[in-house]
Amino acid sequence: MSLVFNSNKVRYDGTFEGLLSVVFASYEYKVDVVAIHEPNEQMGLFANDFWQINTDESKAKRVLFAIQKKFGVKECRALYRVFLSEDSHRAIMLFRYIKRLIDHEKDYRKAYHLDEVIYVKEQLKKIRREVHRMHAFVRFQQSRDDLYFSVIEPDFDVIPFIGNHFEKRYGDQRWLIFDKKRSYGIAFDLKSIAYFSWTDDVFGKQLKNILADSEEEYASWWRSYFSATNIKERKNMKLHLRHVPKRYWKYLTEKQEH
Amino acid sequence: MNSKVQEKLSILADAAKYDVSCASSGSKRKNKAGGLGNATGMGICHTYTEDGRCVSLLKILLTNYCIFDCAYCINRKSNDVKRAMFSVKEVVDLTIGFYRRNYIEGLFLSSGIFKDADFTMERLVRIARDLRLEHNFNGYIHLKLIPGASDELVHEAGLYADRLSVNIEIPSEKSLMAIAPEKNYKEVYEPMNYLKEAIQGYQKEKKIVKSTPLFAPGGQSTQLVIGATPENDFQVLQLANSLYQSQNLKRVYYSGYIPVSQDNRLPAISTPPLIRENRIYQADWLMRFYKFSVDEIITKEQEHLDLDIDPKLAYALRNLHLFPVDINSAPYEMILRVPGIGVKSARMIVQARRFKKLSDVHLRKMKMAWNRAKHFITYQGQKKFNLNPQAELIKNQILFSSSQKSASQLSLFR
Repeated sequence: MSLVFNSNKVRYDGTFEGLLSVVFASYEYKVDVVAIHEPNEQMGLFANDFWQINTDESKAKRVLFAIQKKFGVKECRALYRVFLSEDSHRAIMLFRYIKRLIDHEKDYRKAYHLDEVIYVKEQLKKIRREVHRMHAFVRFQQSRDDLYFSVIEPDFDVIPFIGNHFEKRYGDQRWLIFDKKRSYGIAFDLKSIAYFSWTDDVFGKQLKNILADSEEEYASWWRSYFSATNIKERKNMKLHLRHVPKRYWKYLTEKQEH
Repeated sequence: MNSKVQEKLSILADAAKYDVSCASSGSKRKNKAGGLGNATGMGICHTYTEDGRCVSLLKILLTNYCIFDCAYCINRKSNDVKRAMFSVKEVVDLTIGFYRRNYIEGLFLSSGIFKDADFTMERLVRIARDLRLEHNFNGYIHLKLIPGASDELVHEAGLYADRLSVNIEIPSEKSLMAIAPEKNYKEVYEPMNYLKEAIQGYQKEKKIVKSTPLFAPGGQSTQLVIGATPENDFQVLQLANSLYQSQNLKRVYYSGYIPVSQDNRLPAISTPPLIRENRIYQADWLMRFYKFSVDEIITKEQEHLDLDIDPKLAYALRNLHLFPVDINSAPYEMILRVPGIGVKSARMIVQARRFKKLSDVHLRKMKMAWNRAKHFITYQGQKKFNLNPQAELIKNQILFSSSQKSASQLSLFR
């Protein structure tokens, strides 16, 4: 597979381990990688001018271990978060960032004159903001059998990062959060959190049949509260929309018609 | 049941909305096994009203019946509004029902004063106690202290609530007594002082005895109404400063007066003084996060903050002799004083400059307000710097560039 060693443009398999394998290979073959292509990327004219790097779990682990030894497991988690950002520059930027961390004696995580350091900081901020938004915007509906369920469509794949927060506060109720965009979610059964995947929006079809009797009551009380607590003399829709962008309205109880 | 609760909720949320406090942060209350709710970590705004204000807590009055007749207050006795009163159970059910659905972080409960201060306070405390003890609720609770309530009730409130507040409302006692004849500063400061002592006492004890219960872990706050009475910004900020320094308040909130009354003791205004309120908040921020002393922000002679520009820029223009600041060598405190550089970018600068001498190329990437900052800094490779800067000129340039961006100052804040 990996026939061309002399190219500084590479392709990987799109996984985090794959990216770490690219880092390893760049040391192994002393290649300064300048571009990292995603597996599904259209390659155009120079389709052959790249080096396909195979994912090697043991090599990936060695890279991760080097980072962990220097900066702790927290830093590894942060890198994984950035990887999950789905941003198109994440691969090359993370590659450059990781190399900086490994190459220098000094702690380069705060070297904000470098593009890749600022990039990682900003991606983390974006993801943190989305996680925070989900802490805020998840709206549970109670089902007849006492399950509190919620549907979300976040900008980033944040399901892996939000369970802990909800487990801490809703330890005494069964709940479930489903990311419809990515067709999977997490469910809590009073003991632990489990991942599940659905190809279908199960709720959408039979919502009316499964709701608890008091659910619509609470929802309408909440809508009354939301409109009564507003001060009309201070209306500022621009500010309102900045805080609650329209794309989130779909699942916000207070934004539904009565 | 449904429509009755709905109507009460509409009346009593509407009556409570002029209290602007919304914080749900700063507590340390952890969930217990089998319990509901968790009040650790940062606050969460679950939604925002159309006026752009954070909705974090279920903010309601227990009742809007009131024996007082404070001219600035919508719930005053002589005002012709619909009255309602929640039962203890209704408040508890709403709080828990809303919390389970992730609508809110907890409850902010206040009340009009019916019968007398203690009678009212006792009801508020009972609701908090029910939530904590009967329902194992560990979400956030903010209770309002009723001026004149007894120490025993204030103390009990502290055992169940995360935050307590007693509102000063009117920024001078003279004005307060003119428009709220039944009120005085003594009845406001008494519970505030009692709380301050109690909070400090519990904190001291907690250091020695780990099992000491939480007592108002989110501290106390208050609110000042801006523009209902003639106090100027100097007086307002001096008062706020003393509340932070000697009363140990966590927050002072400012509420631009919204005309809720035709009373001739109050100014006849049609719109609330939103820009003024915004400038006072900015000044408050400078005191709390930017290490400014109140005297650096405003002097007696100035009376009011500049409405055109924010108080940090105003400070820099008044003190041009302190600028430009050398980004690569100035201490953190001085970099923090540069208009356009916030706490985050100041920290980034101080960290990054250990690696490399910083130039404008680096600084622009750090997301600071470059169009402001550039007038007040020097950096590596800078081509020219105006040796004889003039405050008026800089002000106009900044106002011009920000008007072109059409980003309204007001919406950028809060």
